[in-house]
Amino acid sequence: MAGELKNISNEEFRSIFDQYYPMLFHLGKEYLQDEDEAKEVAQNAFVKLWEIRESLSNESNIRNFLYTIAKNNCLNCLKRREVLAVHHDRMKYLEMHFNYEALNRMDHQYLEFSELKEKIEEAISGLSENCRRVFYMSRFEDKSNKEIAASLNVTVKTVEAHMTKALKHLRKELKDYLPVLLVITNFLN
Amino acid sequence: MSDELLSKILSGTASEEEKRAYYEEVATDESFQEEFYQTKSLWVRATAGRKETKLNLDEEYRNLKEKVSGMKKTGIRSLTRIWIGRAAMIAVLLSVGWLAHQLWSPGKQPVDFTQQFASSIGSISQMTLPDGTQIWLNSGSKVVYHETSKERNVQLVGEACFDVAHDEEHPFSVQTENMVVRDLGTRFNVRAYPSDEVTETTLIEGSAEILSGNNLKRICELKPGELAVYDKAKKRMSIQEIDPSTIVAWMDGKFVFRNEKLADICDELEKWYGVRFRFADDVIKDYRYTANIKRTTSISYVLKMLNITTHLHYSIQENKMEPDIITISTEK
Repeated sequence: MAGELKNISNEEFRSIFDQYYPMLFHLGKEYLQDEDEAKEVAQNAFVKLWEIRESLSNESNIRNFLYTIAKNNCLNCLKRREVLAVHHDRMKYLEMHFNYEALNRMDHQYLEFSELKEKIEEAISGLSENCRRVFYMSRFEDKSNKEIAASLNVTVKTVEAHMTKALKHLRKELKDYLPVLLVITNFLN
Repeated sequence: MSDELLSKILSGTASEEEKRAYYEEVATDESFQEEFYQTKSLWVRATAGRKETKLNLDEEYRNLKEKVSGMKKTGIRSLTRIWIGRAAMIAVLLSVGWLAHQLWSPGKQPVDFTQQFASSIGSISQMTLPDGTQIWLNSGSKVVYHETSKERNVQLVGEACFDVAHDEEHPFSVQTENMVVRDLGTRFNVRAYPSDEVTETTLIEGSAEILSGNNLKRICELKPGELAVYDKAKKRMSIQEIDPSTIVAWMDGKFVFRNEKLADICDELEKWYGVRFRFADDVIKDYRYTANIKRTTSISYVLKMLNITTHLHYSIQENKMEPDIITISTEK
């Protein structure tokens, strides 16, 4: 990248990148179910961030900016797919529609991981050991249920049962942190 | 509502059947919808710290750097792996306006603007228009994109594949020498080389209609997997079913021929390798062959394979200023 930044150095930009890029990618991947498009979403958000780098002030500003761009990109993509599927693929249409609505309700605190992280860790620690192991493998090691079943020497059905239990538990423990319908925060205001 | 099904959906392990069952059920009740919205968000958050094994951050950062450095502002991304060793075949950006647009007004679309792209012989380029539409441009092709507050229009010479960002308020159409293809939410391939006898339109996804180039009257509507062939001399249109993957194989850097006439195969090779074919006998033209060839394969190797597998012979006449001429015959 050519030239000096006015407010942040190249190293700082890179560290922002390292911190938030994977999370934006994750957001795209979960809602769009497509890794290439997820990368595109994350890249776009950072291209935009680069363009306004001179007017960046604080970190929460940056977070909101990145999240808003990525979220809107995902929403547009889902809307487009929804329109494409509406007449000839009902399942796809419903899938896109409900994912659109789900993402639309997600608030900008998504990137503020540290606060929620503790709560999640706390909630996870309340799970049974097997259940916790399954959840960790799925969450941090990106393994499929089949792979988890093989490495724990249990059936896929058992893995699924543990995942179901873990999710139910988390939902109960974290109900205060569940998203509420929010007006899209405009980072510029 | 089954928790098990929901957890399968969220972890991406549900089958198509299970997905169908789940989403149909969600559609019946608002409280199910609310449950899905909340649990999905929770899941996405709870899994946000996971190690993204498929992500190479250094590589992603390099991509970003390339995107924001001046060169890549053009919006053209050449598929480098395809033209290794073919230094002269770089896609050319023609429009300075587009550059200016990308540099100084990110995110804002001017009401009325035009931009041009071209790819030279032996290269494939890909570009993304400001509206998100993606265009892949095959060898020796050119597009002129024009956008107004009411519509989006592309003029095409050569072959291109379009993945259109659908926008009902701004219809998207592709204009060729003889006809117009109008998008109704779509991915389609148009092949309109002036040297060809026919213009071909293949619909890959969505729907599209073909209009007459003269009076914009609707000629036909295409369904996915249909190929419309317009005979320029006879002024006639016919529709056939086809496997679109063979049509768009060029985008993956492949030639795919399925029981095609040698004349048509050579025609395709001419467009890529910049050579001319001659046939010692017209009968040879109608011989039919099936082949898969990578576009990085050299023409001399392609000819060698032709010779080995078909017993046809070839001779090459090298020309300095003009394309080399390859003559195909049944005898040595």
